[in-house]
Amino acid sequence: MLKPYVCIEKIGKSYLENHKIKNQLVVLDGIDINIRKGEFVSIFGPNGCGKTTLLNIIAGLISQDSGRVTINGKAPQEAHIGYVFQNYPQSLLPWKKTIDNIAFPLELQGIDRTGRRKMAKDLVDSLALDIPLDSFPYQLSGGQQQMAVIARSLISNPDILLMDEPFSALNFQTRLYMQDKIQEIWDKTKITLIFVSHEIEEAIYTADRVIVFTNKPTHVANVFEPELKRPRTRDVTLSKDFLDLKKDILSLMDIAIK
Amino acid sequence: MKREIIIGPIVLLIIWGIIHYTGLINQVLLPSPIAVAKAVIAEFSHGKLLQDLVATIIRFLWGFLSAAIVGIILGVILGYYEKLYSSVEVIIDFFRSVPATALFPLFMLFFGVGDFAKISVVFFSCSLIILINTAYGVKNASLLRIRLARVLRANRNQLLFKIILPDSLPHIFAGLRIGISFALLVVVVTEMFLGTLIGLGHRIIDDQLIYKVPEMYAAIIVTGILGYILNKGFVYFEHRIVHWSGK
Repeated sequence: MLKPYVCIEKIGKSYLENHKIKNQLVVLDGIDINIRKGEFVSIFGPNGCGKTTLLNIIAGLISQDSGRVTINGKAPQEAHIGYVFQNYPQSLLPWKKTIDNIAFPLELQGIDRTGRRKMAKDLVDSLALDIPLDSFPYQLSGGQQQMAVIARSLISNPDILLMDEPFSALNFQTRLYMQDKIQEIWDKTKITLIFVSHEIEEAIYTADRVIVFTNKPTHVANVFEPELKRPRTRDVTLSKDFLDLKKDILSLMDIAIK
Repeated sequence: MKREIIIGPIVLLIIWGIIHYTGLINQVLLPSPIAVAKAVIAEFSHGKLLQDLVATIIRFLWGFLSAAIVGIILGVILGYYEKLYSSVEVIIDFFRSVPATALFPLFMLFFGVGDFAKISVVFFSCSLIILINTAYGVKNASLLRIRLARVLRANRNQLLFKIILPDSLPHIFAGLRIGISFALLVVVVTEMFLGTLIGLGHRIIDDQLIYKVPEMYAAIIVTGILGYILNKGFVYFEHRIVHWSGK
């Protein structure tokens, strides 16, 4: 059998509370997820259930206690990761213009300034992102910062894009816009995307598959596949399929967090 | 620039004039603004005040720049290696708490009364404050941006030069700004000691000793203008470089 593109196998992770062995707090308790290449997966679960911890493990930023992650056949540390952090505005480098922020991964790879700026501009154009490239990050609106961070995460063609509650800080209108925009970007780039959300509608509206987490110790409660055809528009959120799915997930959550 | 900024200085000059001409304060101790202005021009025209100004600026620059270079380099190292910083923290805090001028007699013992002793005190007074600010900036570089560098698999040099150092620039500049004020203060005070023949501090104390009061005011005002230009110039420069600070 063909191995899935992203394999998350029996991931376990605990923290020590107050650095005491006896106060071991199990966060992730055997997380199993397989993801196809080019799939849009959203992870939905209660606050503090370890969604960010899982993303950090996938990104190779922290190591798991047990289990294994492979991305495109590679260990996380060897894989190419695009990561949109939860408080992404602070991840922009304020001393660099927006275009140089987007091109920053290329700078680290040693690509010359003209070349990397052109690549950044081309990416922004091809994704039809409305960002003032010559401004500094602090001069951008929340939505523009968000798009700049997404562009930066995509510029070096990562194996996978991780997004950690990316739209939670945006105002309502911008959030709706970004929910459509991210689907458009995903569609254009064919990127494999793990999207952590604490908003059920957002998780259903955007993803191919919604993975619902339980409370700590966290495991996968269930997996749902919104069979909503793409491109999706807002009215789909009022369709019967959508509302039924939402109801299913909410009742599952009721059980899962008790 | 806003036009109202000249109101304050004009009012100050008027009050000064009124106090002088009404004799509220002994006119010998407080000459008129015009007499002081004349003294500034006269002192500059025979070149002495300019000589003093240049001497002070040169001592200032030597002391401040050497302190900046050493303070920033050591600050980065200490900020980067937290254990190293903790191990010398008490020493740094102790010497920072010693008023630099209290050490001047000691420095004179070691280095004599020449320029080297003065510059050393300036160096001593500013380097620690620049070091502390730099180390603080490096230690407090944004964790999120460091995580970003790790996700992007930046190497150690890239992490230091492309993330941590630029991130600590606002703190480094804050240290330099304080250092400038310290440096000028210490230069002028040390110039009042023995063995100095030129320098604004020397000029002020000399004029005071022989009751050349308008000339003394002239030297004080020139010193003040020097400090003002250094501070304002630096802040301008700072805003251009660390334009993101506070945003």
